[in-house]
Amino acid sequence: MGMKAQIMTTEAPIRQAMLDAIPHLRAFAISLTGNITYADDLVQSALLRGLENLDKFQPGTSMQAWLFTILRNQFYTDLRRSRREVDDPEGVLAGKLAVMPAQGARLDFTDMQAALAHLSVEQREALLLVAAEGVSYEEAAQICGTNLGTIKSRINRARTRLAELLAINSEEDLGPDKLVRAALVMHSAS
Amino acid sequence: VHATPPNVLLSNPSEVEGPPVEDGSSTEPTLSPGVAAHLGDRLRAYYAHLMSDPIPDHLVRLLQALDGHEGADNDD
Repeated sequence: MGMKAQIMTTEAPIRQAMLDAIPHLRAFAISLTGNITYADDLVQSALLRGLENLDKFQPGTSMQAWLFTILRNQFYTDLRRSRREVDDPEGVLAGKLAVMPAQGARLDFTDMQAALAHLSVEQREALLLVAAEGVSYEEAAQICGTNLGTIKSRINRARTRLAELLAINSEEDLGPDKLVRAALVMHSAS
Repeated sequence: VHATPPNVLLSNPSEVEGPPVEDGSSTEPTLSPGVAAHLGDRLRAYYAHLMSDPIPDHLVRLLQALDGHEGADNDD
């Protein structure tokens, strides 16, 4: 009854879908771990495990979401085994990227990386998937193996915490944090 | 009576995950729309920079397994 799709006819779209997923997997893994070398290891093992288990991929579903799930599960396995955690507290990461953020945006970039590292892993992954990667709440819940309410709750808490950490106040309030920040930027630029 | 402090007071939020909130809005603080929008913009700008980083060749080469075997072991 045609149970199995002909592998010959699906190779090209599958290859393209995996290729298209790589920048997303990398951005997710880097922002999740704060470590490019480790992130690339995670992407590599997700791709390899994806290739090995292609027969379990359901045609018509999202290749990217499938690979995200594999990568995320590997990350949690590593965490349980070695308690490996984000290890880029000093913002070294930006200097390891092939292209560094422009001078003006660099502080924003390193601030964001440092702030993300202060979130719990559960909050961080949920926020990254929905607010940065742009997947739906439903898809994020599937990837993270939890329910919709938990995902929404984690994102809500993550947003609140991140706004605190980055000292994002309401627009009319140019608080002392921003003034100090501005002074520091001017100082470091001179 | 157990006067347990709410989760928000704990220093390490990863230690305790509160019960799932069905709509995620009733009992938790919400950001003002302006702050939420600004935060979203900054998060996306950060992520966009990571997305723009060139993909290492070795990751692309992994997918050669899907191209059949011609040229796959030609690696110099």
